[in-house]
Amino acid sequence: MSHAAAAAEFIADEERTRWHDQAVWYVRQKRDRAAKSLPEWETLRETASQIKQHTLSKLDEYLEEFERNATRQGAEVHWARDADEHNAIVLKLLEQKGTKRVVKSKSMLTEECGLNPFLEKAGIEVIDTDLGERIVQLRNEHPSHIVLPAIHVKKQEVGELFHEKLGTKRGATEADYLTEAARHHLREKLLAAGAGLTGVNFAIAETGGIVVCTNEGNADLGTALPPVHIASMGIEKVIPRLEHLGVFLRLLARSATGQPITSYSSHFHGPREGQEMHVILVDNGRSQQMTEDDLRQSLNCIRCGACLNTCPVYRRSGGHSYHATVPGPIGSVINPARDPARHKSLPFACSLCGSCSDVCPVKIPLHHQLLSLRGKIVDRKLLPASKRWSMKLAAMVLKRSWLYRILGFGARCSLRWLPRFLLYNPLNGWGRQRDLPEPATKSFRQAFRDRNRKPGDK
Amino acid sequence: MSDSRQQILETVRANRSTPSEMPSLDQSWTCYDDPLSQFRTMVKAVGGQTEVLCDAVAASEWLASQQAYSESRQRVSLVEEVGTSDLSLDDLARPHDLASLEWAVLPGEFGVAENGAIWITDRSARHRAVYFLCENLVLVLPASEVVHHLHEAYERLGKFAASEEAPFGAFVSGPSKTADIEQSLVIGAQGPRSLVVLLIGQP
Ligand code: SF4
Repeated sequence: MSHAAAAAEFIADEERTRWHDQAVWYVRQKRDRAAKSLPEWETLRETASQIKQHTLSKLDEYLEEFERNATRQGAEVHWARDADEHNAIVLKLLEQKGTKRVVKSKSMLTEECGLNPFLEKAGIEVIDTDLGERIVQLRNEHPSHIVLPAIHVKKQEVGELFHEKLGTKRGATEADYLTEAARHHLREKLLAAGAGLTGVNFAIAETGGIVVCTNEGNADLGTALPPVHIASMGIEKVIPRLEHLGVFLRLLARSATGQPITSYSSHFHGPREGQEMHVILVDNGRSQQMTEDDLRQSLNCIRCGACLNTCPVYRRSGGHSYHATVPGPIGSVINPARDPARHKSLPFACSLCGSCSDVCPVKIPLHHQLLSLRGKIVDRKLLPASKRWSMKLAAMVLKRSWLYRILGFGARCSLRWLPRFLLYNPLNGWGRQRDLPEPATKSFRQAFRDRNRKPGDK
Repeated sequence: MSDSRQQILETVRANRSTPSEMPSLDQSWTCYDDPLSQFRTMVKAVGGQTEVLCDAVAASEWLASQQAYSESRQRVSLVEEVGTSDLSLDDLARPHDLASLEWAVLPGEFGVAENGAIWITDRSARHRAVYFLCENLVLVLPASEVVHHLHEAYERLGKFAASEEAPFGAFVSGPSKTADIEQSLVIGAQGPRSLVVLLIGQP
């Protein structure tokens, strides 16, 4: 389904669209206040971007350094080319331990790999322990945002869901009460788990450690209790040095939610006493993404979600309309970059306003990438025929000034005379939500000539 | 498996971007006239509470004067002279037995003024779960140990992970919280419901 079609379903409910737009915009405003509170914000962004760029220029070396040091710290490092290999590694580790109950803290990567359904098929219970992720999991949905997974769900809906699944009072909508119920439910699951899965925010080559950031403390509980910790990370998560965290942690939470730092920023170096720790390095299309110079920088992303919050299209179409693990501007870059045929409509779900590039803490030129992806999609002939032909036609006209002049004259006249049904019909998708402008009486050439005519000239 | 390793590394190597310099972190980062008071403001802003006390005895007295603390049934302290212990962490085989722990008084190493975070490690705790499983967390640190910002924090932590057996370490900023239900902030998600920071001595 194209983004436009999916978004049409979302905006059919006007009230909800407005509510969603405002909820997300509120987070963007919090980000702005946090960013403004630091005079060195732009220096931080520039530094972060340079660190990432440097890392990508030697990524293989940093990965090897990370592997060496992580092993030295007592973790076991695994490599997975794609989602299937990643899932198989996780399953094998769990089977070796004979565990049937797994808790997971937020990880967009395992979402990308489809790990939950895979493990469930193998008879393993997987519980997402982040409250927002648990809500969408209980609803049999995917997260609609990379930082705020349940931003599309209203509290009444959470109330109904928890009433049905967790036995809370019917009709309850208070966030306090519902969160308390989830607390009991999730702590029980955390205490019963045989393994804890986490994502990775940053992996430090220099020390072999990984850093995981949460507000709820679920990643800490999920790794401090069970006898196995499995951390899954994309290969782009590695940073050279420990001190670089100073830059990234200052940017991450401020960009994501406007907090000065997440409640917990935990540094894991090897397992705790009596525990096993595994780190899985996953490629799944990332190394290919590095081939294209103009798209490579999208690997800088630290998944803060700021570009989603600021995007006028995301805010009004909802995360699910992107039909991809990562929605919003960054999703519209990385998904089509990896699978253009499947995600061909995403680079067009954009007004090229550039706001995403302005807020991005690692300075990814998102809107430039979206534009260049459009070109690639056209080159590959992936556009629908109607768009392809209309663009060809436009190009033909624009190349011939005589033709352009004639058609311009025709349009100026006919737009005034033609009846509405001829102008606003299914062929004119543009006119569905908009009125055509009032046609000018003169062409631009004519107006320009008139303006430059000196008084007295004939 | 090792095939995958080789294949990934080879592709990454083949697709390297043009060399680019590692930037310097030696910049003029914002410092505070009074880092301790900035730290206290930030702890409050992230949902915690701070008290400055002249010494460990005063800290212990302050704790005892808090009804919620003195009337609770299960407490643990790993800070000498501050608070009491109703159970011994070292005697517990499994961290799971801490599930009904009401108060934990634990050491913090230093605070960060810019964001109200406190660096903790599990060096002195047999089960690091104690930091996250307790209902209420009290962190005790010297009032003099407050750095301006995270860059200074990591400078301090330079050697932390270089050792063969690096401990677990974390920045803790306020109690556990969530805003996953319609953006309403709720304190006490899965971890501690409250955070008290006791700052001991002179800044
Ligand atoms: S692209 Fe930039 S703004 Fe968007 S999620 Fe990634 S880091 Fe954040």
